[in-house]
Amino acid sequence: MVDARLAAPADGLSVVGRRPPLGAYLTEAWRRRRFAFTLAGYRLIGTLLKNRLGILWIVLRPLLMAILYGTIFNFILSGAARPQNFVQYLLVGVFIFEYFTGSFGGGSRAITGNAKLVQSIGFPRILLPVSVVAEQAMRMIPVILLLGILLLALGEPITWSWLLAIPILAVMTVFNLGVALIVARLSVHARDVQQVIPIINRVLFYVSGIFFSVDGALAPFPVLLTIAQSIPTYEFVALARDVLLQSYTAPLIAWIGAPVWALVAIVVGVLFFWRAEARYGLSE
Amino acid sequence: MSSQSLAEDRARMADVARRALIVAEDAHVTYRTYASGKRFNARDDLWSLRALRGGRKLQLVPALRGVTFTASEGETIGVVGHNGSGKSTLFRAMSGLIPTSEGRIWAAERPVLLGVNAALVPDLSGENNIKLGLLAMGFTAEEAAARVDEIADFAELNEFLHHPMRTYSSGMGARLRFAIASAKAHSILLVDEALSVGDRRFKQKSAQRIRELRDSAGLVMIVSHSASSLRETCERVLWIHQGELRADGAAEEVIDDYLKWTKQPGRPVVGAAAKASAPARKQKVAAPKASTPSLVGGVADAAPVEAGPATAGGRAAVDAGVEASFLDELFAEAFPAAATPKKAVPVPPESPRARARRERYRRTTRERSRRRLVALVITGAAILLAVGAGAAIALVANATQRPGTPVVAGVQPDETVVAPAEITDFAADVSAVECVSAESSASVKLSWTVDAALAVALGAGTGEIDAFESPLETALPLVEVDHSVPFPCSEEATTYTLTAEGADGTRISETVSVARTLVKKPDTTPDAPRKPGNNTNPGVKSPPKATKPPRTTTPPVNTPAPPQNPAPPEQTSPPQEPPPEEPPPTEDPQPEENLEP
Repeated sequence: MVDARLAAPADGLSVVGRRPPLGAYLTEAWRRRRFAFTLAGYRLIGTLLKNRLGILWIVLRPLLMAILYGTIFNFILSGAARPQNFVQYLLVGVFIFEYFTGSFGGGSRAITGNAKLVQSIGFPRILLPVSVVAEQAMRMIPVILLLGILLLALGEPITWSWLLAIPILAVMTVFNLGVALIVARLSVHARDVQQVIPIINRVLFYVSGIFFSVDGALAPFPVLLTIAQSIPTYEFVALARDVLLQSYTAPLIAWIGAPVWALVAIVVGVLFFWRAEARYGLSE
Repeated sequence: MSSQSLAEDRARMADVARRALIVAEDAHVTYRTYASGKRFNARDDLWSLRALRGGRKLQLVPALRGVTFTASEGETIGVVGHNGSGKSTLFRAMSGLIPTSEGRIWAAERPVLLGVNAALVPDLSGENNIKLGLLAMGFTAEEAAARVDEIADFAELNEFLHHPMRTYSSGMGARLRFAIASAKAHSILLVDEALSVGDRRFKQKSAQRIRELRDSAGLVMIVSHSASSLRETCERVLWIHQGELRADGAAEEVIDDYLKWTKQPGRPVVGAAAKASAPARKQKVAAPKASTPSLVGGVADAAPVEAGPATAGGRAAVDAGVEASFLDELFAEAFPAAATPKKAVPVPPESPRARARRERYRRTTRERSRRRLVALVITGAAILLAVGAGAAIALVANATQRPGTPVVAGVQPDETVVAPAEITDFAADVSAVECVSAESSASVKLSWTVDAALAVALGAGTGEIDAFESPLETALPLVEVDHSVPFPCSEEATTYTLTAEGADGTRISETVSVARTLVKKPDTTPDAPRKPGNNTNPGVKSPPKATKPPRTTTPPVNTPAPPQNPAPPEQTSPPQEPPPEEPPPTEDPQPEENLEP
């Protein structure tokens, strides 16, 4: 009897709790985009206001990291692995990598950390990872300004190529969003993902050459070098260094690889996330 | 009596022509949680999978087990049941927040849930939460901004509106959530215990608001524990018990039965214990067949739209019948009058629902074992893959090292000299360099002649070193005159080492020492390197690049080999490539020996 009724729904009714078609889903998400950005802004302020130094922490954190790594590796590094203009090299690396780290970790908690919100209000869930990345992008604004000031103070000449940093960061945002969408769904299926993420971050931090020159260190091993240069975080950091620093030139593979990675990540991320749309409410 | 009620239902349907707004079809919801099914004692195997998960295992908790009903336009339906019976789960499933694991729920429009559980962002102020909630519900930014005051007034938060929501009392939070959720007129409204929150004043206000919404909405469903408020607002009531629909009928009767049942002591009420509820289900299926199709199991009825509330008389009798047949084994004495009519109904040996449930259980078991197998295979494959990747990397690393060595070996046959290198001459143009200060730098010109060497490198330090190990410059020509190299003024004296590597792999070094003499210049202050333009001393060169990095991180002292070579402008020295370009591999000797025999 149930089957007969299922085959013929009553007039004008549609099944609830099913994911909508992709086009309608994205349209709806776009219509409510203000929610994602407002949530990002409020959450950013909310987390910062708890600290006494408030908004200063946005820039203090990466700066302290840069000082730490700079002091340690300035003594350790020598030879081919030591990049030219070590301090500028390190600053750009740490500051840009911070953007990825934040989006990656935040993305994994986008759904699980907002379980109550997900269970009480119906809206396209994709807005939650979007708001995470938007929050990180807002954090990047003072960080990038500080980076510019530091580079000027260190004697790096200001050039028109600095403007290219904006499109590069925009492409990186697309990539970060794709990655955030993927980990957001994965950590709903298995919370264990959140345990692995700091480890992945650490591995990427080392292989992307944030504080040493991958190109120099791996020069004798062309195959390994090509592999290292195909790592997306390396590519984005290398591009940022290329446009901001005079003494650094990114390999061609980075200019090709970065937009390809961004495209792949966003397409895979959106599809992967959308397919489980109806199930996010079950995470408890 | 049954035919009479049926006829009335039909008549009612005909003249009102009510449209079904929600149809629930055998809806099941199963939660997956990690919980220990039993106490984890020391005797359990410490290495079992269960122990690895901290003694917990994945449990499937059925919260809804086949709920079927139809709700039509213009109705106000109350839902009763004890805590944990599945009322809130039913509402969440109806609003699409959680998916049904089996069965379906159809709705004319996405139902909106107003719940006390509608937690927003606790760190934000009430005002910001109002804005966020409105945006999430699909208001535009302007509409949201315009409504904030109205909602704040309704919630009566006064000055607390600007405090973080985590500081609110539970009543204040509930008021705010209700105010936000009820801001929009919906055609299907689900109210989850909202009436029971807040103080008396707010209760009346929210009841008033719900009445307004009901007038504009097509359908309102309310979960409440307050019998009196349900009696006032609803004409039809659903009773959810252990995840199943136990009764569906006119408000008065169902509420009365529910109240009677709650007064019975000693019944396990929480949890969907299969044993306890099995007879109930059997009876429920059996009962409608005997009495009337307008009861719970009435889906069997071919009519796509189930009738609204039945007439009081018919419904009462039916409810009493179901009630009694379910309870009679336990509570026959308590309700002798109610128990009599259906006492004789025999329990069918196996109802279709019981069969379906068993089938479902078998399916789940099969599915679980299949998943375990898949997980095992995937784990094994992942381990193999990791091992393979490790081996591949090792191979690649070896492969990339090998091509590096033959390059040197390939050069060797051309030279056909298997003799040690010889440094015949190595000297500096001066024996002492004038420095302005310890921070500045100067340059020294070196000349040398080397015989029979494959590679020549130059290093600087305080004593003799191997220039290939810490090179200042590598890949130098065999004969060079007046080669300019930087002289660090921070040291008392600097020893330049010229190391040549012969075709047989042996290295030979020659040193020359240059001393420093400090010259005091009146116009150059200690920060001379920062202003290269002011610096007029021809012997001192202070390229800006070389001095920049140390200025912020480390003092320029103790830097024996600056990474880059400040090029003297007047001389064209060989291109100072960064070292990685052609460092002769340090494991040269082995391949060389291989070639010799």
